[in-house]
Amino acid sequence: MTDIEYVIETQDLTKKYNSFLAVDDLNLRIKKGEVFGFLGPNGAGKTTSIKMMVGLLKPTKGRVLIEGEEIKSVEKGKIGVCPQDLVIWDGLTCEENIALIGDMYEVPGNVLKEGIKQLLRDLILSDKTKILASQLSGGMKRRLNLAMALIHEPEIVVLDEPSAGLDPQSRLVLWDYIHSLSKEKGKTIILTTHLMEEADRLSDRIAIMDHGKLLVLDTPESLKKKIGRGDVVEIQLSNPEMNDKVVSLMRSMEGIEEVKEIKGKVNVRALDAVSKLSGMIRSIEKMGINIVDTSIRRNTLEDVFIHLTGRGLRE
Amino acid sequence: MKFVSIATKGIKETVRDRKGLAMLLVFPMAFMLVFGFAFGGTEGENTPHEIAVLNYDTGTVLYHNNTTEQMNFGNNFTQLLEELKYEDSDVHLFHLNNVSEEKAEDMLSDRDIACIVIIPANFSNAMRAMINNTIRTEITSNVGEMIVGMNVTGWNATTGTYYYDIENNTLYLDGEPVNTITTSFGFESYPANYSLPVVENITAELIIKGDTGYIGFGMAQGIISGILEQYENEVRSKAKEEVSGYFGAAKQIPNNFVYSKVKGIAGTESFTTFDYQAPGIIVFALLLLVVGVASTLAGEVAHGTLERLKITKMKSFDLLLGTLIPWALIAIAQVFILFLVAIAMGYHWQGGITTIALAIMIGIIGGISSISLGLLVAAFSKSEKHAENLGMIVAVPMSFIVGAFFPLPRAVIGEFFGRTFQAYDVLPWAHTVNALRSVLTFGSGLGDVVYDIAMMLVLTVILFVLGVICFSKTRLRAE
Repeated sequence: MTDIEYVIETQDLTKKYNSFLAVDDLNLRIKKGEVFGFLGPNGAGKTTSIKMMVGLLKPTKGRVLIEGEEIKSVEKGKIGVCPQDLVIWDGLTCEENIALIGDMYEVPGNVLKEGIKQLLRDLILSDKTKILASQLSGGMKRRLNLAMALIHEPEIVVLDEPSAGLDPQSRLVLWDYIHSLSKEKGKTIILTTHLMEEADRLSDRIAIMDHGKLLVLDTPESLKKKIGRGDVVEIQLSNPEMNDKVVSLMRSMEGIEEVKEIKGKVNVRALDAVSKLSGMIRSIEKMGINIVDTSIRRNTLEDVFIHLTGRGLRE
Repeated sequence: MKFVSIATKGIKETVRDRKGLAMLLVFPMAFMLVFGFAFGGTEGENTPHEIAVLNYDTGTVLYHNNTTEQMNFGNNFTQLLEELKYEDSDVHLFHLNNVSEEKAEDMLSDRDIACIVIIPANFSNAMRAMINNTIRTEITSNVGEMIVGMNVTGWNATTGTYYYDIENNTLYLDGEPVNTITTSFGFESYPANYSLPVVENITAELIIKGDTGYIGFGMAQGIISGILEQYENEVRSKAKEEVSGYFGAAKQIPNNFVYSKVKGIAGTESFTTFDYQAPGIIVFALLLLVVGVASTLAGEVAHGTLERLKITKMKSFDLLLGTLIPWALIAIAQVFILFLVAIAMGYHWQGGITTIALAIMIGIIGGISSISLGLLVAAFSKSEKHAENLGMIVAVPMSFIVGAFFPLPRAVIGEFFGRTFQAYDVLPWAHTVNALRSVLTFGSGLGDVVYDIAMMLVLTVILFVLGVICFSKTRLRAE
């Protein structure tokens, strides 16, 4: 029996395209009212999972339950989806785009009119009401894309990389709005993103996927504590061909948690990294290798991700 | 009504996409202009159209002025066809081949003759009925329908409003004489019972048989239809004119109500290939809708907007009907605009306003056929570009296959409803071309194109169902 606290539950959700396994036995439970972050590199299976959760894709195996009910029998207006791509009609105005989707969800006329006004105001598009979507900037289109997912007041909102390609100002507007959707309006939000900061800042819990599999699921703080503890030292050598040697050297040192080569630099994660930094530098220089730059920073969600997936999100 | 919202969206997008709209309307217009310039001139020296007339008319007897007259309108009409000449020319319009029905059929198959004119046995009787009807209408409009069939000789002058004094041959209205009526009028009055002619319910169907895909037939058929109409009008107006003489100034009673006069047929000197091609270009434009519909729907798929709609409460019906409406409106606009351009380029349009309404109706059905084909193309297209290319590959050759521009070779595969069924008749646009050509170029009415319209409807429904099934299966269901 499904616990009613969970609005979405996936059971052994699997999608196969011929021999390619896009999603492999995904088991998730998403709580009502939480912002659920979905992280994973390109091709990890996030969007495929989401498409199955909203009924756009048929799973090869497993099922999706929305408040305990099979997805195919759930009323369509329960979920609102803001797709990863800008899915708007360029030949329609902002108002017409939202109104069309509202009509498709059978939102009554007066409610629709008010809803459009409110959404355009909240997403700072009021002055663009009668402007064709084709004439909007990228950020405005992204906000319009979100407004179209919300016009029918869905209980569950799926945001597939909502801030991709946004400038910092637009991103902040969007983040504030997503935050208010969850905390003030009580919506359950599923958020996929490539931006670690976004996931860290907005998500109550984060699931990290790779190769179609769920690798880990926890709050951002717990993930940072449990996985990838300590600080990170980034070392850039004058000759990157020596990176392998340095990686081996660092791994042989005591008190080192993890060493990886990422984007031409050697990343060393260690507890109390500040006190170990001078020893690291000395060992490298003893091998006759020149260091161009070193830096030390706190462990981030990206480090957690790299620890789990072995590669950067934008690779 | 979600389909209305989708249709409204489609209309707005189409109107705002000026380049796309121009492509849809200007491209066929350019075709019309080019063909108008190329083929709109006269066809050089006029030559008689080779035809065969099979006259089965048994003739009739006409009564008038206490005399009878044997009359064969079929012979009269045949003679007229033989003697008619091109306008301002000594060249005869037709050369009549005096052959048997069997031979005529063979000649028609070999295109040695443009058409066979079959005059039915009751042609004269039908003409007599038409004359009687004209006479009756004319008289009753003058003296009133109330005296019709009345035994006027026994009428009591003191009790009726109308009174006919048979001795003095005078009609009284409220006791006052209104006119003097001649002792006999109407063909049925012989020897003289003073009643109006009885109109018999006789109709005759003169058949002009030929291959609708053959330009020679198109031209000959159009001219003969026009001549027949003029012939009927001439006979009717002559009868009317003679009868009205009884009620106006004194007029000599005619010896003969029906006669024919030979004169040039207006417009025949300039009947051109363009007249044959213009309706085909309209069909070509309708076929181009395939490209528009396919690329629009493929665009909805490629841009993800269809997926966005799929997760809403929209049903397949809403999307397909909502898509169909704006394209049907475009079809109407295309027929109308191209028709006007054709007229401007010298197209000789036959018929009145009703033919335009009929042509628009035919255009809508043809447009829906194209929309259905567009659905099929979109179902198998991977992108907008792919849909455009595939649509073009389908639509352009199709316009030639259905005979939009040039007559098609015979490709008979059987008989259907008493008509020859050609291989290309399985395509609804072949019937659209025929129907538009009949209506606009030859001035035919609804009755003449019922077969083509029925075939278009049946084939369009099949194509639409096929399009809906394929598109729904490939694009509207969860993958």
